[in-house]
Amino acid sequence: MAEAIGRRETAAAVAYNEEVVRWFMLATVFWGVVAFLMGVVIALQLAYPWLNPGPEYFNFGRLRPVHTSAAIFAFGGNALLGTSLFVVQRTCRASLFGGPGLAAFLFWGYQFFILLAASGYVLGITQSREYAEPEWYADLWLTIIWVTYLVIYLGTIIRRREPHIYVANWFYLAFIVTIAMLHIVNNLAVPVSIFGTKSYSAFSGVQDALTQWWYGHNAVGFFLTAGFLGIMYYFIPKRADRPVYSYRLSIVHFWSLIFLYIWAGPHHLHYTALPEWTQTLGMTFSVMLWMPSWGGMINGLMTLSGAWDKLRTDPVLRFLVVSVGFYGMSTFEGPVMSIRAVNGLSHYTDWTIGHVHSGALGWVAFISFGAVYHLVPRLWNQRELYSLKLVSYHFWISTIGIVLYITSMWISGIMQGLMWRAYDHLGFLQYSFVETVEAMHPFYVVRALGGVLFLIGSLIMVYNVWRTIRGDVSVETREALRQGAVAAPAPAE
Amino acid sequence: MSLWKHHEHVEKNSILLLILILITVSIGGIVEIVPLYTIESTIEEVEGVRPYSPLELAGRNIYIREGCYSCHSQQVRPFRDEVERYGHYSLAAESMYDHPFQWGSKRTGPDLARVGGKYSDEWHVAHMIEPQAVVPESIMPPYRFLIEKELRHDDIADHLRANRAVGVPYTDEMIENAVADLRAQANPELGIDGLLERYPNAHAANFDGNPRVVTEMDALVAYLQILGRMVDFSQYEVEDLIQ
Amino acid sequence: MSLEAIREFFASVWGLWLMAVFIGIVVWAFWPRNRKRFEEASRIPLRDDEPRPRDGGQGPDGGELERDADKQ
Ligand code: HEC
Repeated sequence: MAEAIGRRETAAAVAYNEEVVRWFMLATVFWGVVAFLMGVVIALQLAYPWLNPGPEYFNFGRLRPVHTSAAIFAFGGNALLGTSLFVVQRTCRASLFGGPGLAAFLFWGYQFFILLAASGYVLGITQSREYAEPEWYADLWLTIIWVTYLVIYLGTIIRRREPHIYVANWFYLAFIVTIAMLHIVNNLAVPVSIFGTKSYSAFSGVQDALTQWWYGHNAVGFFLTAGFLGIMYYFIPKRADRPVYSYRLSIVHFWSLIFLYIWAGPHHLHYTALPEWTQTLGMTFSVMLWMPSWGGMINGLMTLSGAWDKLRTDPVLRFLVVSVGFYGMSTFEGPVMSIRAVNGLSHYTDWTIGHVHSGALGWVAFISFGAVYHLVPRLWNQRELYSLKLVSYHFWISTIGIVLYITSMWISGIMQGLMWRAYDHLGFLQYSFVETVEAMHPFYVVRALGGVLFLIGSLIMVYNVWRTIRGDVSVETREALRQGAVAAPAPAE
Repeated sequence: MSLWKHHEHVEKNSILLLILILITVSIGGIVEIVPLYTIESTIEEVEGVRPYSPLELAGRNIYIREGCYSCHSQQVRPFRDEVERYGHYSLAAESMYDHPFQWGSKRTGPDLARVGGKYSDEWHVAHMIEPQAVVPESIMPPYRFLIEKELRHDDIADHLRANRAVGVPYTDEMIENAVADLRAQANPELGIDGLLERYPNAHAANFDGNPRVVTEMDALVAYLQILGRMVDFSQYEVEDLIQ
Repeated sequence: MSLEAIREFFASVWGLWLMAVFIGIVVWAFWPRNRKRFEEASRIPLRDDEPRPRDGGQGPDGGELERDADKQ
C-alpha cells in the first residue's frame, strides 16, 4: 500500500549535524517506552503487593527510582538533548561546535550514564536523594558529560550566523547551566572508599533536606519546565507555521521564571523542622510563579490564534498545544499545593503523585511526542509521518490514560489526607493507618489502568516511527498531504 | 541611553547571557540555604542525640539501599492527629547526624520517625519477612532475603571515618571498636558495656534469633528500634500544635 | 551586627532588587523602539528551512569562515 514519496533536500548552506539528533530521537522513544513500562510495573506492585517477587532486585523500593530516572533523565533527557541540539543549529544557522565526534561522545556518554544509574538502583546502589539517586561515581561521569554538553551548546551559539539568540535557546541554556549547578552542589559527598560505591552526603538533617529539595524542585523547574519550554518556543511556532504570539512576553516569561523558580524548593518541607521563615519564603515564591507560568502558557496557546482549525487536522500540533494546556493546569495546581494549609493535607499523599503526573505525562511527555512526530520525518527525509491517524489514536488513548491517572490520584490523595486526620465522636482517631491503605486499593487499580493506556499509546508511536523511517506513507496521510492539511514542507523537485 | 544599548548586548553576547543566568539562579540558593548553616536557631539544643552505633548505621544503609524512604517518611508534623498517631513532632536536632536525611516525601506506609520501641524485635523480623502475615491488608513488599544475608561489616570502621569526614563526631575510640561494637549489639553475650558507654540507649539484642552470624536483618531492626528513641520526650511538652 | 541581622537586611533588599530588575526587564521588552527587532527575532525559526546561498566549504569544520557573531 504505502510507499516513499517526496524526499527532500535539507540543510542548504550549513551542514547541520542531524545524525546525532536522529540517535537522540530514537533514544527518546526507546526510553519513553521503558519509563512507562516501569511505571506500570510499580503501579501494579502497589495495587497487588504479591508482584514484589522474592529476589531483592525487583522490589518496589528499588524499581521506583528506575521508573523516575527513566522518565526524567532517560526519556525527558534524551528529548531535551536531541531537540536542543537540533534547535540550536537551526536558529543559529551553525553546525554543532566540536564536530560529529564530540556530539557522538555526548550521546553515548549520556546513555552510559543512564545505564550506570539504572543498574545501580537494581543492585541497591543509591544515595536515596530523590531524582539524584545515582552514587558518586555516576555523578562524576554525568558531570563530565554535562560539561561536554555545555561546551557544544555554547560553542554553537558563539559561532552563530544569526545575530540574535532565539529565545528557545535561552531556555535551553538556563536548563543546562542550572542543572549543572544543582547537580554539583546537591551531590557533594564523601565516598567510603574509592573502590566502593557507597558515599555519605556532605550535608545532614535540616540542611540536607533543604539542599535536596532546592535541587529537587529546580530539577522540576529547570529540567522539566525550562528545558521543555525551549521545545515549546521552537516547535509550536514551527508546526503552526506562525511566529510565537508575543516575543516580548517570552522575554518576560524567561526572566521571571528563572528568578522565581529557584526559591520555591522549601514548599516540599512545610511543617517540618525547617525554620518557618524559609517555608514562608518558599511558599511566597511558589505562589508568585503562577504568573509567569500562565504568561508562558498564554504565549504558547495564542500562537495559534487565527489558526485554531489546524488543531482539527494536525494531530501533531494537537499534542504540542494540549501539552501547553496541561502545563497551565499543573502550574496552577502547584502554587495551590504550595500554600501551607493545603500542603498540610496534600503532602505525603497521592495527590502529589497525581500533580507530578499531570506535569510529567500531560506536559513533558506530550510535548516530547509532538517534537518526535514533527522531527522524525524531517530527520529521515520523509515528507510526513507514516500515519497521522495513528498519531490521533496515540493522542486520544494517552489522554484517557492521563485523565484516569490524575483523577484517581486526586480522589485517593484527598481521601487519604482526610482519613488520616479524621476523628470519631469520642475524640479518637477514626482510622488506623492500614485502613487508609486498604481504601486506596481501587484507585491504585484505576491508576495502573491509566498507565497501561499511556504505555499502549507509546507503542503505537514506536510502530508509527518505525514505518516512517522505513519510508512508508499510509493512504490517509497521503490524502491529507494532497489537501494541504498539514504543514509539510514542499518536496524538493 | 547607554542602558538600552547594554540590553542589546545581553541577547547578542552569549557568555553574558550565561553569566546573568548563573547569577539569577544562584541568588535564591544563597539567600535561602546559606543562613541555615550559620543561624544558631536552626537546630535547637536537644539532649540525647548521638551518632548511630555501627550496627544501626549499617541498618540505616540497608534502609537506604532498599528504598524504604519511597514509602515511609521520617518526619512527624506538628498536627494533633500526627502527634497522636506517631508521637512528638520531629525536632531538627533528631536528624542532625543523618547523612543523608530520610524525611521522605510519601506515606504509602506510616511515618517511621518514632517507630523505635513500638513493636518487639520479633514483630519486626516477622513483619519484614512477610508483612501480610502480620498485617493482612499491607502492601509492603517482603524482605525475606535480609535474614539469609550475612551483614558485610569488615569495612564498618571506614564508614564511621567517612561520616566523621562530613561532620559526625565519631571518636577514635568509636572507630577502633567499630567491629566489636557491631558484633556485640547483635549478640549481647559478647559483652555490651563498651557499646552502651559509647552509644547510650543502644538496644542490643539477638534480633533475628540467630546468634552465630550478624545478618542484614539484625542491622535493619537495630536501626528501626532506635528511631525516635534518642531523645527522652517525657521532659518535653507537646505544645504549639497546629489545628 | 549579628548574622541574623545581616540576613534580614539581605532578605528585604533582595525583594526590592528583584522587583526593580523585573520592572526593568518588562520595560525593556515592551519599549516601543524595540518592537520591530523582537518581531524579526520571532521569525527566526520560520526562516530556517529557506535555502541559503552556498558559499562553499562551510561544513562542520568550516568554523573559520563562519563569522563569530559575538565578536561583532
Ligand atoms: C510499597 C511501599 C513500602 C515499602 C517499599 C516499604 N514499606 Fe514498610 N510499610 C508499608 C505499608 C503500607 C505499611 C503499613 C502496613 C504494615 O504494617 O505492613 C508499612 C509498615 C511498616 C512498618 C510498621 C510501622 C508501624 O508503625 O506499624 C515498618 C517498621 C516498616 N513498614 C518498615 C519498612 C522498611 C524497613 C522498609 C524497607 C526495607 C519498608 N518498610 C518498605 C509500605 C512499604
